[in-house]
Amino acid sequence: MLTVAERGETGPAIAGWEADTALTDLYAAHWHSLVRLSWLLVRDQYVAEETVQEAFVAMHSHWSQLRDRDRALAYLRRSVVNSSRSVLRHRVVEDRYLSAETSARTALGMTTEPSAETLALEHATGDRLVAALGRLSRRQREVLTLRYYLDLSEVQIADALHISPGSVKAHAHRGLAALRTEVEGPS
Amino acid sequence: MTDDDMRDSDIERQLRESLRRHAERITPRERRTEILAMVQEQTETSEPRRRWLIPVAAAASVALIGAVAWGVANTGTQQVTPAGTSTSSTTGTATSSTTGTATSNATGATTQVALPAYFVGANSGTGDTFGLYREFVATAVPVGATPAQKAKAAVAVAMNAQPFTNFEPYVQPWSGTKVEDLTFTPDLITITLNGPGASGFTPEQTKLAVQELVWTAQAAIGQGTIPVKFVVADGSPQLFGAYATDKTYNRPTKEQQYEDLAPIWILSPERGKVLAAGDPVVASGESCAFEATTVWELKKGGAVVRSGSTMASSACPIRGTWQVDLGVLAPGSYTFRMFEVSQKDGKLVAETSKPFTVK
Repeated sequence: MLTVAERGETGPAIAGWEADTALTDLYAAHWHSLVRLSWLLVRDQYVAEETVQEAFVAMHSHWSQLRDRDRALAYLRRSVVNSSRSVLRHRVVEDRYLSAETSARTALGMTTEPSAETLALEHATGDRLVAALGRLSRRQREVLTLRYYLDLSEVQIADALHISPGSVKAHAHRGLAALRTEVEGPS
Repeated sequence: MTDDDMRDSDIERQLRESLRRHAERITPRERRTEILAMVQEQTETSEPRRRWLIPVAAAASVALIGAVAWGVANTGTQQVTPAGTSTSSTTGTATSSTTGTATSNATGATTQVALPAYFVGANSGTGDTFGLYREFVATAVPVGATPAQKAKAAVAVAMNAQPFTNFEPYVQPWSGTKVEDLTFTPDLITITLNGPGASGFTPEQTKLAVQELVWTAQAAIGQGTIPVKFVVADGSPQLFGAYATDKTYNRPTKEQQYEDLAPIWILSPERGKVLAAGDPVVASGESCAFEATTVWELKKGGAVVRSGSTMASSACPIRGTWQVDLGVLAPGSYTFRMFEVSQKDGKLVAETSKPFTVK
């Protein structure tokens, strides 16, 4: 009897192979950052992992339309942002987000404990900016998170959020202005 | 440039740093297994064969698929699904089902699925301590197999380490034992075996042998840590003369998983994987090591061509994930080896390796 590999593959199986390889590679390269992106948006680690897991599965099933790693990654980002947004819309996670900075650590839905170093650093800086980010409009928060956490370009952010690059610029500008006011006080 | 612009760029720098630091508060848990399983479920209908298991299947040679085909299919069913025949499956219902039985709807036609299976293996070449290793094994299950049927198949795979013994330090405490049935509810998985397990194994090995079935059944069912109860068809009150069948068994808590799992797993490259020349090679896996540190070597033709150490996302007792970027490698046959040396006496405490090819 032959093994799967020894039997050889032809035709449609190649698409499956490409999808599997792309999935493996994209998972290795982007799983952590996408889960963290989702976590920054929904503030619940379990939900973030579920969201990104579903995005990977969906990406795999849409591979025949994607067939390109850059496009697949863009697809993953769109899925993650969209799903994170629906989570916020349909669950009460938003409340958790707003109270996250002041409430017990478990309310964050974190399942990994931060290190002593992280805690010390947080204590020193107070993480006021992240708390302020949580008080911005949803769109501003998404734009700023994609811009400053994932370092995406305006065009990439526009693609991820289905808005125009001009809107990205406007949201970023207003969001930053609001953050500055929050952190430094009104001028 | 205005003052506003100056302040904005300050804010931007601070925000970038805050978000990075904030994001690092969490350590995403590996979901590769779950994603593979879901993709598997989803594509069974549209593709006759899955290729996830090629590395395993290729390396495990002829014996592997043959050995696992009897997992749930009735004897005499075909072991390799011909192209185009796998047209129906339980896609969509398999993962949402909350109860199951392994005894329904075997129709004769089978399909290949990748099932997670745990094996008891030596933690290092010295062979004085043991732990569980996970494999994804290409397994023939009936078309439309229920989660319980798949779990039964996975347990059958886990009980048969023989196909792996040529290249992994796995032992066979279930030699001569077969799984007869597997059922589950949201609260209990019941595994029926035809015997209490083989004799001649150490207490450490038999304890792990019980746990390997717990981990395997829970992984295959995919509904969390449902307690597992064993029934021995011959009426034995204990597995291996030591583990009562009137008790339930479960995975340890996260802090104590080091008691079950082998300290180092290499998940990528998979055994026997053929990688395209020109693509960067990234090794990754899990470890539970002192100060999260393990040492790796890349061997080509027996000679160490590269080496280094890596830090996992967390230190023992919490299992962490690690990644080593090997960069672009010249074509050839390689072995990636990772090990941990005792800080106390310099002895090898954990060691594992995976061969792969670049071409």
